[in-house]
Amino acid sequence: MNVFIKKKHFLWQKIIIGATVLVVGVGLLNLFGNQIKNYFYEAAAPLSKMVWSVGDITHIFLASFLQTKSLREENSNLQKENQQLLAQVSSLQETVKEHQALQEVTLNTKGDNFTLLVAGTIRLDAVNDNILINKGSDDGITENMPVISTQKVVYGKISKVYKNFSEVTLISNSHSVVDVKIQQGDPLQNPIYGAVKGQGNLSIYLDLVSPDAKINQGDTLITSGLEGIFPKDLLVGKVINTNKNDLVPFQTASIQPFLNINAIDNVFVVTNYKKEK
Amino acid sequence: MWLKLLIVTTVFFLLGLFQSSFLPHVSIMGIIPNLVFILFFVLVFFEKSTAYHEGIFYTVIAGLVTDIFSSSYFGPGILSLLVTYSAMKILFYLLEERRGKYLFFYFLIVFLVSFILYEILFSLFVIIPHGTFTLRQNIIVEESFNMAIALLVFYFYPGKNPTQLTLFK
Repeated sequence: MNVFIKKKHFLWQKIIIGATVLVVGVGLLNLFGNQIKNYFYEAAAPLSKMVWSVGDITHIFLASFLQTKSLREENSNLQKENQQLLAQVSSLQETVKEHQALQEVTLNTKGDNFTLLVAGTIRLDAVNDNILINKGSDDGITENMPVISTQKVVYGKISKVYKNFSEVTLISNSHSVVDVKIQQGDPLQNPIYGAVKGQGNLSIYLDLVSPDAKINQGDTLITSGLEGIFPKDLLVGKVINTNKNDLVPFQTASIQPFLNINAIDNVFVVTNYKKEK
Repeated sequence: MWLKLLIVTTVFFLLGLFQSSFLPHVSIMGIIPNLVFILFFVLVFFEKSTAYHEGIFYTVIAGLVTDIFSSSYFGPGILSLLVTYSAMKILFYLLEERRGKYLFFYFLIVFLVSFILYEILFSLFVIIPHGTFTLRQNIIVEESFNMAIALLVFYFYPGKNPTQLTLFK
């Protein structure tokens, strides 16, 4: 009997000691969390980058099984060209609306106002739809800076900054909301506004669109700049299909995002964007 | 013993790195298998029923790796895996008799319960600062995908049990 009580007593002692060690340990880890993660990322960065590149090569290798090399290259080139054209179209339509006479001149200069910082991608956190990039506070990065691609595709915003690294919350993160407008054929029409929300697994959807607004399959979504984090006219995605329901106050739509995890070896951080007042 | 723990720790870190840097490129429908959890589960599943210290060590290391490679604060990985570990031990105790007879189904059920529990706990801990809970898309496909990989590991795990490669005893 005494032995049993003694054993039980020791068990509780062990549990209490274990729980205390755990709480203190986790507390300390969080106290120095940023430094610990920064040191770890710094130490693991060369290996991470190498593994990331190998993954990229493997993706290309696997893709070549599904289609011939020439087709893949052609497809990749067409995709790039398409995105560039879409970026140009979005700039053009905005210019037409605001300065009808100067559309040709201002077309390619709008983007030049950005100060861009190139950064390499190191890893993806699939659970939270975050990526880690190899530039941090030492490089002048601060929270909420927009992150885009060369084709003006919006990827996300800086959510956490370490000394030499930063975390980018992708627009597919389930807590991400980006104000967008739907680009229509006629630039003189009133724009349709909505919000693109992330739903994890690198996918997004369109929400908060007025039920009277007419959205078509294939319509392109661009940032409206209303939330003040992303500059306007960045490419977001394309409408796949719309869901209109009389029971809900807004219509939604499935979106094919332009962000492509296999094409983000390098991203650009917009370091000088401030919303115009 | 120490060498084994060192090797397991290294493997956990390498799997975490592989999972976050390589697998995103070859993911299907954006789903990336949770290799760290699968290794943790298999190690705990095949550990001796009295080897609690080893099990807790694996749990803490797997949790630490999860937290380091995650964009959240430190804690969700360690805490959710510790709770999952305790739940697994309770399940082992409750289903002890079934283990010998139906190892395959036993593994399947315990894995499914543990993984779902872990996913819910981890998501809950991670969203505490945000205050809203949103379930990821393709969650069922994700569970199935992870289970398929866990079953592969189950079959190829260095045999501690001769019935491992059979569906029934």
